[in-house]
Order: sequence, then structure tokens, then C-alpha cells
Amino acid sequence: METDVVVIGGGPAGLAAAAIASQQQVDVTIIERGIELGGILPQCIHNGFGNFIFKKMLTGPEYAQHYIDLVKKQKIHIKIDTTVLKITKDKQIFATNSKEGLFKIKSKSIVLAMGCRERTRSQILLPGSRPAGIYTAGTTQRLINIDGIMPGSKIVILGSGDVGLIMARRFILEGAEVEGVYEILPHPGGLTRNIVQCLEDFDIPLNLCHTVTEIHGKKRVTGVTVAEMDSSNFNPKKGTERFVSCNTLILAVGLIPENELSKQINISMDSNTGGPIVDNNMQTSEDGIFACGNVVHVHDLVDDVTIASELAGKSAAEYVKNQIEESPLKPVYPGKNVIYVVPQHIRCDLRSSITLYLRVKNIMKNAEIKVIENNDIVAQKKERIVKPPEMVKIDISSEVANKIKKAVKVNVEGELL
Amino acid sequence: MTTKKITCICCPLGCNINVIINGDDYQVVGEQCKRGKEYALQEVKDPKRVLTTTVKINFGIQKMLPVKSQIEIPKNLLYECVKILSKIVVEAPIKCGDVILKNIHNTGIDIIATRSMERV
Repeated sequence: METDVVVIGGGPAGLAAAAIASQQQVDVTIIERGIELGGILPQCIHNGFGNFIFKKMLTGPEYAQHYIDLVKKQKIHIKIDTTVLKITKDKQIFATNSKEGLFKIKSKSIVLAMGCRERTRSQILLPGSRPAGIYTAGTTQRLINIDGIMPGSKIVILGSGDVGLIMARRFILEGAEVEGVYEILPHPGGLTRNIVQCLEDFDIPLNLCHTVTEIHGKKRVTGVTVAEMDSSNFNPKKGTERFVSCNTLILAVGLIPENELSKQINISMDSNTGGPIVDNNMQTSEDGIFACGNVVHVHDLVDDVTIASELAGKSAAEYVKNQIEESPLKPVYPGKNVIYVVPQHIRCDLRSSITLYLRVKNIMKNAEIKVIENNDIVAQKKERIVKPPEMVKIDISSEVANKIKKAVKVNVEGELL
Repeated sequence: MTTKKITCICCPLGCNINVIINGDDYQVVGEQCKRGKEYALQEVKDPKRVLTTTVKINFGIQKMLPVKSQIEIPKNLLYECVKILSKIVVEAPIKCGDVILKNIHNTGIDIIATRSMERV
């Protein structure tokens, strides 16, 4: 089989990229591992999606439905229940499903939209025995909202990422007890909205600077030991250990871009994002291979995923039509109080403005975001507050960006809170 | 006289607002904008939330169908409404936006499907 653009992944990123690419009159194929399109959105039944793009609060399934309908209206080939096993630099895709067996697609361009997956217990080195009843937050979300199964009745949540907070509320509404949320850092990992509407609304305690130091139970979790953290050396404080009885431990301890396929062909990766290094067209270090959504960096809002993915889809179609010329790249580096900046490269031939997305290290008030080359300020913006869980954006016009000579870095300065 | 603490969610600032209640008199302290003041008063007088949950579905590709209240319902009715919806079973096909339950708990608010599901 031959096609112009293969989009790997049918979540919000893949759907937006495919819809836009197809509108540019190129042949598009989506390959999705699950039995339905939509990615993680169908299980995110809460509302709060689409505030930026649709100017209203949609639920995850509604947001997905809009893009699923959009894709289905177009002549896009959709292969669900199909796993991509391998991609090559010359853009061959090897995939498999139960109907066709192993098969190969030759494509002119590839869009990587595989999303991310949850950090597990072994990745946070959580000691103790290995009983049943330990889940990642997203797994419980799927069990409850898609499969209709309750994974437990007395819950402790480790980590305060958004999915963990959302699940705290979900468990309560489904009749379970939630003993508390424990966060190792001094600030919550999720959005303020979720702290208020998922924890405060239901009087669920949020224990900052705390972690789980041991899991108890043989067949099933019987409890966990929690302890306060010593902020000076990041170790549990002696004497603060406390046993908490529970039958289920939920881990909401972060997400990692899923890049097994990208790494097969040695695409250049950014160790700070865990995703491919991309230019402002969302092109990776491999010519004609684009990436978008959570595979590039973990977003907090799906609206931002859609916007970046539409750019990737448009770029992939332009690449197929030979409309993208080679251009030298100017690196963008994270500077003071910045963990990462995406895109990591700016092309020299910009015709429209670009948006830099960055994640800050610390909470700061009256912050100034400065894009700097040597000692000159290229662009700047003020924010009343910046927080690690909330992505910061700064727009740069094409005129300004084209004046950058070699490289820029982005600093965020302000009052530490 | 009682004081209620509200964390504002209107913008990323997340102001800590206090509402001092003295009979019918409400005094808002600590807000930094008009939206914050309105939000805090609403939260104290009549807090509302959009209810999102699932109902059982037969003959669909999945076992559960996500639903929501068409508009916000009073916060103190969330549990009751979830309980009512836990007893409901629908049949595919369903279109996104279909009414699943009319006038839940006599609120005058309908519960609607938030996705389509074909019959399989």
C-alpha cells in the first residue's frame, strides 16, 4: 500500500494532523492501536476541554467527537486495532492487525502522534511488596469510565497530577473513600481548577511535601506508609512516618512521551521533554517526519495539542507537495527558570509568526519572559504569575524571528514565591 | 458572622478570597478583579457544577456511555444525581447530545450523552 501521509496515533494530535493534511488534497492514512479513535479523550469524561478553541467547556468525549466526525467526513483511510511495529528512515511503516496480518505501507511523509504514557511504580522506585491494588491513575480512569469496573473502595493517591485529581473526585462520586492525595513537591502538580473542584469540593486532604515510603499487603494492598519530605535533602523525615489503611494505591506521578518508534530511527531527542526535537513546522531531525502532541512534550491543555498538530499536518502535506525548502535552523535554548522550550529550532524563512511553548521550574509572580540573543532582548512578555503545571507561551513575529542570527535562549525572571 | 475561604479559579493567579457572611450581607475580601468577586459570591450563595458521569449501555462498542448535565446543577445535588444515573441502562445507537434522562431530580435540567456510539 502507498500513501502520502501516515499519521501514527488516532488521539487528538493524530486526528487534527490528519484532518488538516487531508484538506490540503493529499492522501492520508491514520493508524490507531486502540479499537476506536480519540486516544485518551473518550475516558476523560469530565468537562474543561476546548475552552480556547471552542470557547466553551466540553467533555473529553465531546472534544474527541468533533475531530472524529471531521476525519470521518473526509477521504482518510483509518486503520484501527492496528499496531505499528517499525518505521524506517525512507518512510516505510510496518504494522499489524488481526485481519491483515503483517503489512507494509510506503509513505512520502510520517506524522508521529503516539501520545504519552503514565509513569509506573518502578519508575519512581517505590519500595514494598507487590500486592494487587496498585494502579496508575489513567488505568483506573479507563476501568471506571469505559469498562464500568470499580478498581477499589479505599483509595490513597500518590502524586497530584491532573488525572490523579480528576480520579479523586470520580472515586468519591462512585461511592469510594479517598483518604488523601500525597505530593512529594511543595506545590501541586495539577491545575488550580482541579485542586478546587476535585479535592476542596469533596474535603479530600492534599498533603504537600509528602510521599509513600512503603506499600503493605500480600495479596491485596492493606495500607501504605506515608512520610513528610525533608526539603533540604529530599529524603523522608525520620519520625514522620504514618500508616494509612487503604486497599488501593493510585499513582499520578507524571507522563512520559511514548517514543519507541522515534528512537528506532535515531530521531534526535530532547532529554528535557522526552520527545523529538522539532522545528517550528513540527519537523523532526528526519526530513519529512513530523511529530505533534504529547509525543513531543506533555501538554496540560488539549487545545494546545490541536493547534500544534494542525501545524504538523499542514507541514506534512506541504512536504509531500515539495513546498518546504531546506532551511538552516536556529536553536532555542531553555535559560533561567525554564525546563524546556518547544520548538527547539526556528527555521530561517518564516512567513508567519511562531509560538514558543515553555515550562517553568518554579512558581513566580510578576514574571517577565525574555527571548534573548547574546545580551539583546529579541522578544518579551509579562505574566502576573507562572507555574510549572501551566504552560507559558510567547509569540514571535516572523520579522523578529528572521532577525535572529544564530540562537536564542528563553529566560523567565520574577519574584520567587 | 462566618468567613468562607474560596480559591478563585477564574485565572491562573488563583487568588485566595474570603467571603464574610453576616446574615444577608456578604463582604468579599482579597479578590483582585470583578470576575473573582462574582465567582466568590456565586460559590458562597449557590455553588453549581456540571455533572459528568457514565451510564450503562447495551449493544455498544463499550460498556459505558459518558453523560453530562446540559448545564450546571446545584453542587449539593451531585451525589443524588449520580445515584439516579447509576440505575439507568440505555441501548446503542446513541448520538452525541441525545437526551438520556429528562429533568433529573426535578431540577429542570436534562442529562445528555457526550459521545456517539453505534450499535454493534
